[in-house]
Amino acid sequence: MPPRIACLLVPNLPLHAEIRAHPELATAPLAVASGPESRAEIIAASPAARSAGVQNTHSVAQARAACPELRVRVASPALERAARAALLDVALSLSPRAEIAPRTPGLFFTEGKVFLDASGIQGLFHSEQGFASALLARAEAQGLPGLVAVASSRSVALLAARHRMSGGPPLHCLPPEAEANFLAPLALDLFDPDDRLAQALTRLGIHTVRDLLRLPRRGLAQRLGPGIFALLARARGEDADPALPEPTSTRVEEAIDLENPVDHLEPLGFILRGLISRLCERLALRGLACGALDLRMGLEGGAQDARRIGLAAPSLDLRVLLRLTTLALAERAPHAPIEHIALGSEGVPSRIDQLDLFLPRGPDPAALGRTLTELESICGEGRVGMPQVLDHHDPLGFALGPFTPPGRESPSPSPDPPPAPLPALRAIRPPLRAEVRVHGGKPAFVRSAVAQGDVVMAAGPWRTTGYWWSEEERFALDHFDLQLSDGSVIRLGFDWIKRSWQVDGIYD
Amino acid sequence: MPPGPLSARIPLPGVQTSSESRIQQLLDDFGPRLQAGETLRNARKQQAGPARQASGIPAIDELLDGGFPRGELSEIAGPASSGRTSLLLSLLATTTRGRPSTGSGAELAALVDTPDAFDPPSARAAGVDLRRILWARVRPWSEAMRCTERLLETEGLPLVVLDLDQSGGPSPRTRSEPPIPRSAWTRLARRAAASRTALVVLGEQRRAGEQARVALELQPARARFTGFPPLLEEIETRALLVRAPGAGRHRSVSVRLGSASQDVKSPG
Repeated sequence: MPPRIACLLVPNLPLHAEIRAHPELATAPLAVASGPESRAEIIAASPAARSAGVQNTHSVAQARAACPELRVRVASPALERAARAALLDVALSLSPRAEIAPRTPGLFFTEGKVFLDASGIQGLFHSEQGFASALLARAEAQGLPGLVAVASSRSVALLAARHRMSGGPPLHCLPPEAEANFLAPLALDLFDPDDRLAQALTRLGIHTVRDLLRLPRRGLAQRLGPGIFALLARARGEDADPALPEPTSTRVEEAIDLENPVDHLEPLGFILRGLISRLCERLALRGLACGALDLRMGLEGGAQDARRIGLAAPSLDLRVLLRLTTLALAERAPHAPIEHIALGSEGVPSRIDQLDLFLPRGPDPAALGRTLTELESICGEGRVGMPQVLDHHDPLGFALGPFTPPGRESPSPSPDPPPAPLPALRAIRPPLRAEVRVHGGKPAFVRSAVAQGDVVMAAGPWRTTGYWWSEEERFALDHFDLQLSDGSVIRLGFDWIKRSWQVDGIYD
Repeated sequence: MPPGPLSARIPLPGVQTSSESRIQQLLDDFGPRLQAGETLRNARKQQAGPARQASGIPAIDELLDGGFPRGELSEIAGPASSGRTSLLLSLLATTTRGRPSTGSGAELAALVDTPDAFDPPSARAAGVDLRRILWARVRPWSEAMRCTERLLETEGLPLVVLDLDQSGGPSPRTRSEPPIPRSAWTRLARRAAASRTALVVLGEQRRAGEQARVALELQPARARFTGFPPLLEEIETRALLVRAPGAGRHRSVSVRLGSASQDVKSPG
């Protein structure tokens, strides 16, 4: 059975990329220009602008004269790149093999297209029509309305999609046996031959595929150049391209070039919301969640500011991701106004877990992941996780690692009985300074913000030292356990480095 | 056990003798129980978990009729060195390790730590399985309430502890905050009920008012130093049940929290 290839084609991609980033422009007469100057060429225009008389190849000045209320945006490579990548995500949401076609010069330079494997889709979609409809709907949901054609090769699928640009329903499923008849009357302009070849064919009065295939083969290359053979192969519906690849990268990036530099957090929040929202939608298409966020900002003056925002667990929660990003920016604001923002993330699968009939129902890993991320957005980065005891002698040392609880275990509890409850310590972070009166080498009276009184009972001292080789980390402490006359039982330390007394904790 | 009716009805053609005997054995063991629905009932019971979260200190569990109730807000109040943290760590240890006596398995617990007073070495020494503790270090209390609410929305966490004790040090930012409104406690109590989570609030004094189903007040008695050179051996405390459903309130017990043993000295 011949392979089936679908082509998702978005004409006027620069226009849709702009509307995708600025949805408020969807109904306005909008045109995208090739540059900021008034002589720049209009490369794409919205239906409202077209109906007002704006055409491609108009200059910006001509377009404004035709439509005074026209909104003109300069084509943004960052937005266009993100829109092309989004097309690939749409394709990968329905097929494991897909490839984005590179931007080509020529007549169709504003179109965005992606090819995907449409073989064996009957089990899921019943028909190619159903598959194409689903593809089209997903692309539209991403703000990229387009055309879909399914054929036996990339070349024919692309031609079938381009053919529908002039009118007709946006779906075209071409059976293999109908391809030759479909191709024969097609205008050669749809193949977008290079200028020299196009002129030569026009001189010879060859306008359609049928005319081209009737040409005698002999001496064709001498008369029309070597490019004619590639055109002939495409006209016959032959595909010389290699098989579609299976992309392995799960990285997703959204970016935007700002018209006016932004130097306040509040307007930046609106821009970030859009970026994160589009990023999450793309990740959701591929069944992934957002791992760490990589925020890259181009600043006025050419400087760059890049930072990574860690997440406690993969998440697609827009509110939480936005809060984490704004917290990170508020904590360390960029030193100059921002001209360009790119937000990327490595897509990671959400946590899944198998329920067990015979164990208490633990939290759903995905829900727990969302909770962790939200807690981190409230508490701050690095303040939520699993407590860890460090493998060294610093009595005040601890760590907070990522919360990855062990899997479900057998219903039988731990065979070792828990140890008898000890007097537990409540840590005081940072330790509180204390005034201490010493008698006979031991504390006799303590005054601090948490406890004060004569020492009733004392144990200690115990000396702990460590990291003597490091000026910053070294410690040397003498600790006492003391019961004071006010009833409190405290852990008092003498810091030999600072030569001061401190209360490290309260036994409670 | 004689073969059950289910096994009698299932033919086993073409199965090798050793496999057949094993399958037969399984059918003998489980067939009648499966048919009677016993396994499913047990499974549902196991999934639901116990109705109370035991503290692991027999005297306290007896006072609380088995432990802190799930789906309810409970409070532990008392001054510094009254044994609140020791009781809390014992509760966390029991939850994260499971209880051999009741057969309940190891579960997760969350701790919202406003004073940043949780001491991992101390918790490990008390038997807490730190891998099952979700520790959120948060200030001020308004954020702590949000964290707790979010945790209670996560179904499947049997125990959430909210530590609001500020006796461990002056925290100007926290001390200058307005008191926690009653509506916040109502919301937490409702969330705990919806998720069947035991919510335990710890502080110097009771704060949740009538929203707390159980309130335990601890009063420090004495600390015991033994041996030569002397070592802090145990803290003796008195636990008074000031709020509980039914007629159980105003009972008290003395508890010794120490390395030697813990026991009930004199029920009040």
